[in-house]
Amino acid sequence: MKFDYIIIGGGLCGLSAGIRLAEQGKKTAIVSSGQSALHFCAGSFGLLGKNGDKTVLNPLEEIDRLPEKHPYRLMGKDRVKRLATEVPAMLQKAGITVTGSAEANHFTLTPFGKPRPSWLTLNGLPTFSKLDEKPFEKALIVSIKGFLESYPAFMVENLEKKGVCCRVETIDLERLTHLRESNFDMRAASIAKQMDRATIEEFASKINSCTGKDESVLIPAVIGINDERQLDRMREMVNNPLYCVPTIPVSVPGLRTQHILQHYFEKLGGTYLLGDRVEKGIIENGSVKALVTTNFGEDHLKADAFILASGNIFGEGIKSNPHDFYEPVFGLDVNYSSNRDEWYDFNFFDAQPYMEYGVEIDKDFHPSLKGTKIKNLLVAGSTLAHCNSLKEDSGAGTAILTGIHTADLAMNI
Amino acid sequence: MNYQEQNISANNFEECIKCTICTAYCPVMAVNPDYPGPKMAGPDGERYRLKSPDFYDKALKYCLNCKRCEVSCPSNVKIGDIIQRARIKYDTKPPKLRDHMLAETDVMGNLATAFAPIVNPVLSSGIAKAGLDIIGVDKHRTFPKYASHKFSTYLKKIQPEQEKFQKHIAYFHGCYVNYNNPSLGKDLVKILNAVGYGMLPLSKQKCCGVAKIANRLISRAKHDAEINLKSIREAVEQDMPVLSTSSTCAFTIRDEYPHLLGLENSDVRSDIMLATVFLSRKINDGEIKLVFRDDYKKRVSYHTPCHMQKLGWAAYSTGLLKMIPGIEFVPLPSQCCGIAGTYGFKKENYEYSQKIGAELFEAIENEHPDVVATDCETCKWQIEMSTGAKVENPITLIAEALDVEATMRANGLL
Ligand SMILES: Cc1cc2nc3c(=O)[nH]c(=O)nc-3n(C[C@H](O)[C@H](O)[C@H](O)COP(=O)(O)OP(=O)(O)OC[C@H]3O[C@@H](n4cnc5c(N)ncnc54)[C@H](O)[C@@H]3O)c2cc1C
Ligand code: SF4
Ligand code: SF4
Repeated sequence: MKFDYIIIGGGLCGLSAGIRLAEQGKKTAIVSSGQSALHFCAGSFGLLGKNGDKTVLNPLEEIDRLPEKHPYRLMGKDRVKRLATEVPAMLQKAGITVTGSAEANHFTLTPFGKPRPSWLTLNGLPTFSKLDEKPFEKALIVSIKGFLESYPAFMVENLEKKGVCCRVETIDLERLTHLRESNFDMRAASIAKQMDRATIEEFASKINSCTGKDESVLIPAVIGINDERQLDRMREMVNNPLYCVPTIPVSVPGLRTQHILQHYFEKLGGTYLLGDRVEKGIIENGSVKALVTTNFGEDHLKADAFILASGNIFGEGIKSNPHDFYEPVFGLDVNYSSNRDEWYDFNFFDAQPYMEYGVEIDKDFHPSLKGTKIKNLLVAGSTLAHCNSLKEDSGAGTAILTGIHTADLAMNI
Repeated sequence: MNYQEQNISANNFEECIKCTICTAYCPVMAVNPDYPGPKMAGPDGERYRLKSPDFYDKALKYCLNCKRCEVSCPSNVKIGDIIQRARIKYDTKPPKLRDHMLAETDVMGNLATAFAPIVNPVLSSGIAKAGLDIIGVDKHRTFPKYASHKFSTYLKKIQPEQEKFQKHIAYFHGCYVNYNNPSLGKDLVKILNAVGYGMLPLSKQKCCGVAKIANRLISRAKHDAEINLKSIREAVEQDMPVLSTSSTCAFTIRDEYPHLLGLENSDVRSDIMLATVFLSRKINDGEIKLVFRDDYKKRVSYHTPCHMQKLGWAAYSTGLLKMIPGIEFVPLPSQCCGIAGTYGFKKENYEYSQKIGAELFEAIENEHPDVVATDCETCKWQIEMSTGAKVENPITLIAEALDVEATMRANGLL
């Protein structure tokens, strides 16, 4: 099968690249062997939230202080700025509403009620502009009876530290009675699938009957698994201001974002091949000729240019064995320490060096294979070396911006 | 030495990173709280079962074997295979009479086609439905009508003229085309002949075995599978690819034979494909051309059967449909319709089956297509029963829209 462009990996990065190409009318395919890290995204996209120990307030200004080989440095501050300004409109066209701008980070809450810097925050999550700002005067934290994945006690502890006056109520929803019989099903995604119109009305009216004056209502993010308008409808039904707080993964806003972007890409004419794995790339004379995938077998997938957006250790875009890190599709040159003891930090919660291991690229985002540049292949997203999405809180930003950037570069090859 | 690779079992349950993504995609888990879901039934449960078979949970029978969990797993864990193998290995309760009846598609089909004029009204009668209900076949289900002449008989009859073609394919018609819908087989003959290919029968063919595997009649399934593989090998030796018009037959022969029945098929696996795959590849390689009628106009949706999603071939079928100028193509989200072969016919599953399909049915009703195309016969029954929409195999639509004369001319046959 022949396309103009093929992207390996259909997470936030591959989809951003794919949408850019399909919007220009290019015949584009995305091959994705499984679902993506977007399912873990709590609902806020980071551009650059932290640099070392410092909380970043102005991510664009901070770019020049990042290591020289960081993908944002390779793109250049102006290019990051231009693309970052275009992103909210692109998301809106797909059906995703976000708040925020690259000029200044704002803050949102983690599942434990701690403030977290954010570039763009999905519809429904609470946002506030300053780190030391009190997000609400009074909060009613609503938990759902039997739900395993929200932590009202932590939420209260952290919000009270900020001086918020907190109260917790547990609400029982009729439709979940059946679900509660199971030991496994009370997860965010399972609950979200039960939220039909009648259940949302029941939820809203039970909330209304227990809220006090001036209380902001915080519910776990289990509304709107397919469509954010469901959340808007619920907000209209609830008398007090209503916000969703992220749950632990799999996250409902993340799941929704994945599906909406995929659907938008397909509506633009793109081909999304879910569940297929690129096993091998065929390289001749320094160019990728074709891809061999599990499902297409001897019918090789051909294109003029290719983008590798296969993720990092999670998602198997980068793999390791006891001695080496490697990129499994092409065997591209990867940056990692040859000393195994330097791969990880024994303190689990500290920044892990292996998260920065990835594919080395030149300034035009081309990788190399045993030192030779590959002309029609570009690399983007968390597959790239020299960025650490968790340490920097830059995962979504890197994925979206390098995705769009490499799509533009690919069209100019 | 690569320790990691040496520590991975054949069914790779150790590669699960416990991300829980699969649980969000299991259609059963969303409607049936008794089902523990792919993670627990698959890789997690496997660890316990290795300790003691007593940990086997009989709720694993609720798994549809749709493989949507496998498709979503970022770590490539063979979740569906782990579950089905556990059912085969640990569920020692003998299958019920009802399960035998549903699984023996060949025996039932042979009998029923012989007496089709009698069997069809009887099967749709209230009395038969009540009887079937007692043994556990849900009364809401309508059995597909049986044809009075088998497709295999027709194929024998036309063999002399088919042999005259220079190039040939062998057709695995499966039970549905043979006993219920021979006209789908004839549609394929029409398309193939127009591009210069003759259709030949396999020397012998049995049911692919999917229903027997689902109902744990493993030795019967294996017996049939060995016959099929032998005939497939003979066809491949004569340079004929083996085509199917059912995504489930193709999937079972390609993947379930080695994974669940332990039968080696790697020598012929890539020669077994759907007819739409064969046609698309030949068109892309410039070897054949299809020309369509100008007066054909239809609004068509495509439903991706679970096994088609797993095969990853929907792009071929939709690609062909999109080539037909008169077709207005409306995509549907890839979702399970809930039937899963014989699963939805069972009384204890009927309600879940309809709940699983509800979102898909709603999507179809919102799009109001003239026809829904799909590559699986049981999806066809389910969607027709649940939405009233007309459902056809893509091959039937292509045959309808085909301008045979112009196609033959374009392929240098006239
Ligand atoms: C637990 C966790 C929580 C996070 N939370 C947040 C957050 O709240 N906010 C935020 O901004 N960022 C967050 N991030 C970071 C951010 O989500 C990721 O960095 C970003 O989504 C990565 O996108 P990607 O497209 O580069 O890679 P991925 O999302 O990993 O996608 C790669 C895709 O490629 C596929 N693939 C791999 N190999 C192949 C192959 N050979 N053939 C075909 N397909 C292949 C994979 O199956 C996968 O679907 C989080 C990350 C993690 C791990
Ligand atoms: S998706 Fe795969 S890795 Fe994740 S929990 Fe399920 S089986 Fe394990
Ligand atoms: S095969 Fe289908 S029904 Fe079975 S566990 Fe996987 S997703 Fe669920």
